[in-house]
Amino acid sequence: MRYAVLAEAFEKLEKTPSYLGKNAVIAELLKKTPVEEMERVVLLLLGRTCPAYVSKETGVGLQQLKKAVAKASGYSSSEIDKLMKQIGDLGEVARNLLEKKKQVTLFAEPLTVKKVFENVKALPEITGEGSVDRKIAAIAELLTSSTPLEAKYVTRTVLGDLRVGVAEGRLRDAIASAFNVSPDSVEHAYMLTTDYAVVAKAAAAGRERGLEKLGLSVGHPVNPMLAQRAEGGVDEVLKRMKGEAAFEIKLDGIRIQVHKDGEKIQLFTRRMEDYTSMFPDLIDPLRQTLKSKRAIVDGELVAIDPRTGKPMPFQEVLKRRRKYGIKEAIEQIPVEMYLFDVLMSDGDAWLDESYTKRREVLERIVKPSDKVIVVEQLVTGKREEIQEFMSKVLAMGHEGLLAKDLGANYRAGRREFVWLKLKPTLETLDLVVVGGLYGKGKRAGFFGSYLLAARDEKSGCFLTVTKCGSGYTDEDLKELTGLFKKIQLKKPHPDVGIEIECDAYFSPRIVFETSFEEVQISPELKHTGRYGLRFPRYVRIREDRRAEEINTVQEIAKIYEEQEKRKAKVHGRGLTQQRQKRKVEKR
Amino acid sequence: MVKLRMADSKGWKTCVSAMASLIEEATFKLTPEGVKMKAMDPSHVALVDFELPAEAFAEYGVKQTVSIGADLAEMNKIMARAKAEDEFTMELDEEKNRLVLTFKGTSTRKFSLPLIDISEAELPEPKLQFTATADIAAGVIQDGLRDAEIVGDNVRCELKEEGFSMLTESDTGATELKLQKGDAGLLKLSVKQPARAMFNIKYLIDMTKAVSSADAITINLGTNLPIQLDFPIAKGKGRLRFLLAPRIEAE
Repeated sequence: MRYAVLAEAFEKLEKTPSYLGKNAVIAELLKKTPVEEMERVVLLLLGRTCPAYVSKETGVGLQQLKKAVAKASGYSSSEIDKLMKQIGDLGEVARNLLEKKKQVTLFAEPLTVKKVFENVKALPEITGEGSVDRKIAAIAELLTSSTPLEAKYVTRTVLGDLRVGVAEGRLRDAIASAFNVSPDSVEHAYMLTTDYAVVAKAAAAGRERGLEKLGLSVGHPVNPMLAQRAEGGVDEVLKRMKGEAAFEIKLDGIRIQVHKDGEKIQLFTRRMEDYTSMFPDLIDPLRQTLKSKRAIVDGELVAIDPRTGKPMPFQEVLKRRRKYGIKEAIEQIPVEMYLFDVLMSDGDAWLDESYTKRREVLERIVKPSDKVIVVEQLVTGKREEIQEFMSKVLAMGHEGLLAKDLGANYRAGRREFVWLKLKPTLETLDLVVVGGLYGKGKRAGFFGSYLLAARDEKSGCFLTVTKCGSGYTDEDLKELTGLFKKIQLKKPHPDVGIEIECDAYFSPRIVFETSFEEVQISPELKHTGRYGLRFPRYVRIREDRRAEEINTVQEIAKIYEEQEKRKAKVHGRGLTQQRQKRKVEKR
Repeated sequence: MVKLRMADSKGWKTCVSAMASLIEEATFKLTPEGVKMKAMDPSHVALVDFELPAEAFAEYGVKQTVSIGADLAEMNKIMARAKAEDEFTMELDEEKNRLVLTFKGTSTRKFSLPLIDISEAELPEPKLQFTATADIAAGVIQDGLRDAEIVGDNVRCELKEEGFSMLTESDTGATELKLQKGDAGLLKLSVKQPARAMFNIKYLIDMTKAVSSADAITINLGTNLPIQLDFPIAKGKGRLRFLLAPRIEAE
């Protein structure tokens, strides 16, 4: 398959702003793609050569890439720098220069998808003496065979910044329409494999049947099952779970999926990042604790502050592990792994079994140790017992309980009402940062407030709901400004609906946990999400949350409705409102 | 059993050194008639065309055609250790999938080199209508290129009835080399039609650095065509040829 086909699709995607338009372009491309090329095409479409959970850097910086462009086009580095200042995107620069290239080649071979994929994939592998030159040569080899348009996208691919707006989520609908399968089947297959390349290939080869055949495999992270909020407290839990449920401590740690394959242990986060190297102190205990040869188990990794014996906020743990080096951090802040679920063990997949059954299996295959623990569980339908458990858990410093439907299967990647979070405190919202405004006075030079957006379930776009200017410490302001400067855009990101003018715009990537007092209809409709938050306050960055997973506009609408209902009642009784206000102040 | 022996190491040393400056890996094709290697650099700007017939070897034991893929950089490092007058043998160890290189002088030294798999792409034979040719002492060209390197990145080569010239111009200055009919460095000249084209200096330096300055280089030129350089190897029996694509001259 010629790379030109892909390059033309990229170009169309860049020029097509609408969600449906983009989908049509991707679907058309996938239809044209032979099955044996499917994985390469899908990965390149996402700007990668490996699935997202494998993190590999090409090791090629802008400077090296400029040299490759220089080599292929015959222009000098200073000429490239000059153009770079005018255009600002090396991809466009490459296209520009190859249109009037000064160096003739002996033979022009048309560039193939395979060639591009292989050369780019090989880049991290090129190491040792002269590796920089060999990397440049490998890229220049692609560029010399490129048409100007191909060169633009080869360059951007190597840079790791395609700028055509193909988020993983878009592929679901595109694959579904290209191969005439249901979006739900595509999504389900993705949740199990976490790799759209594999999913697209299966759909192309076997349609629905092909997707059904995809299953779990050790070493490939599965999208974890998530919990919904129980807005209605214990009443809601007991109603939804038909009188009885499993209650567990809601641990404030990091969700970790453990994969065991013989002696090999791998740890994946909720975002399917490989964190194995971050926690060497858990590898051996896990190896010994898990009795099965091969297994995928699910749990929460928790750090205990040795001085207080209480759980420590996870952000803190990650920060320290990064800052002081892993060895010291292991001694200062030991971590423990609390297991609560099993997805497979040896030959058997347990996804479709009930939670009761999975718990049974988990207890059978785990030999608890002081580092690896099966999470405490209370199966009950009695309110007093639940309340008692809640009080005990809160006293221990945890944030609440999880209630799980005993009969429910493991729903990979789904957030449904069969797992419910029970918290005593007011909820916060996870919102993505899309814009920033410079502060004044003491905050001059820093972003003093950020424009936050919720996801629109219908379009997948991000719509603004609040401008958040409080809750930051001086240190936060400094750190956040540094962080956001790196991802600053000149124009609003194409996936973001924004009508408020900002000093800077950002790719919707970083998620803030934000507390608020009340949801209201946005005054004068200045927020594209139509709702606004009163008294928004920054709580922290949610590093474990992707933009696709944040609260939706629809959820906010629901909170608004509930709140208005409650208010109507309160006006009748006059008590609850006061109590609620007090909680907000406490935070 | 594949075994090649040469009375001295000099020829192979020179060829490998020149090839290694342009390409990393090469497939040598050994046929009963001789050794061939043809490859392009990754940027497709330069091509190496190498041929050494069986009679150029003191002993040539190749019964059927085999392809040997080798890392040229590694082979070059090994050849750099050989003394020019050492007797040189290449053998294929099929069991270990290695190439064994032996230098015999005051002592016998052995090296072995793992073979590598290289996808073989058939390269088309370019048909080029050169209009002028000259034999020039390698030393003259080497000097001229080193001059040019000071000034710029590209050099314009020209062949006319009057002789040969190399010209480089840039913001930092200009340099010119001239060879006229009768000059000692110009051994032969034949011009059907005057020809000129511009080339990247770095490539030309890499191609010419291995050859000894006393040898003659045969140059073929056509206006805005690739330049073809031939080096005399094995007393004219073999061929070491480079093709280099031109650059487009700025108006």
